[in-house]
Amino acid sequence: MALPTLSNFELMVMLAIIRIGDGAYGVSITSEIENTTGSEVLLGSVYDAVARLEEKGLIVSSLGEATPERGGRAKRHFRTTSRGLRVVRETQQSLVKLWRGIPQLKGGEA
Amino acid sequence: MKPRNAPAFATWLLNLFCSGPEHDSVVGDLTEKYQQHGGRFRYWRETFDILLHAIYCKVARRPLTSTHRIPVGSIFAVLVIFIGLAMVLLTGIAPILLIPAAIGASVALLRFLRHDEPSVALTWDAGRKHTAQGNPARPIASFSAPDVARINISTISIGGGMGAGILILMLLTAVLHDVPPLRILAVPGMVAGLVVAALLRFWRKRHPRDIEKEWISIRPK
Repeated sequence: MALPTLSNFELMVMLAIIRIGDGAYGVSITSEIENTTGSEVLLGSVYDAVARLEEKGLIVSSLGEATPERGGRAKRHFRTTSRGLRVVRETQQSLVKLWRGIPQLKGGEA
Repeated sequence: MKPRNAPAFATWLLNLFCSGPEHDSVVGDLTEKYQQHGGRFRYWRETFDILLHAIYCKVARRPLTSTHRIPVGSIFAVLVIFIGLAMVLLTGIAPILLIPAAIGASVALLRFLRHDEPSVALTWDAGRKHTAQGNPARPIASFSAPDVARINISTISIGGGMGAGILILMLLTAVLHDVPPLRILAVPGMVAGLVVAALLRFWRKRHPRDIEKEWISIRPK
């Protein structure tokens, strides 16, 4: 069965989930991406991405505990599947191959 | 630490549209984020983003975390056309609609006379058939005398923004001309339009879902 494609943002979400490990949920994924990239990320975008990733079978989710600072609402935890890890690894290999042979980028020109 | 109170109206809207159990985690995340980082403006932005999805998903009977996006452009186009039709039917502005038709015809004639390459690729049938894709190196304007002009739909580029702007300007002029009481609303209306346009531009610029369209997708072997 062919492996699914990953958009750049989906890849970032996957990497954030892998970096966080157990207990990755909406806020922590958003913070991880924001801290790493310096760009602001909306929760809705992350939830869109994780829904797509879940549909592709790259991550699974489960309901976690509720805390008072969340208004008593439960967290939804995400973790990667073995298939998801394989896709990330192969995407990394593809990117590394693409980077090889590219001259140093200067002033916005190749 | 005492929890901070999120904007009440935004929270009410969230509870109204996102009351199902499937929304719990989304709303909980939003609440937690507000407690951590604060920022009423950001809370409203996040709420607005989630609400748009929730409303759309309710209409489409889909879960909140579906992959479908809101066709904002299509909604706007339908709205503009609807307003245009309503104005034509309700006011006497039909003659004004001839202005853009005349301008369009003049521009097309000028470009033809100047042998400019048209933005809408016309391919001519002169004994044999040519297409823009089939013969890309050959300038379209240098084709021999036309027997039949055809429009290659795949190469049509539409200046949608400019077209919509001209249409809105025309409608506004017509309304102000025909309905004097509406002149009072013209200035705040225009200001509101500019604000909405700026907000949309800001949202579009900062929204990662739009960014990802520009980024490459990798298909592993």
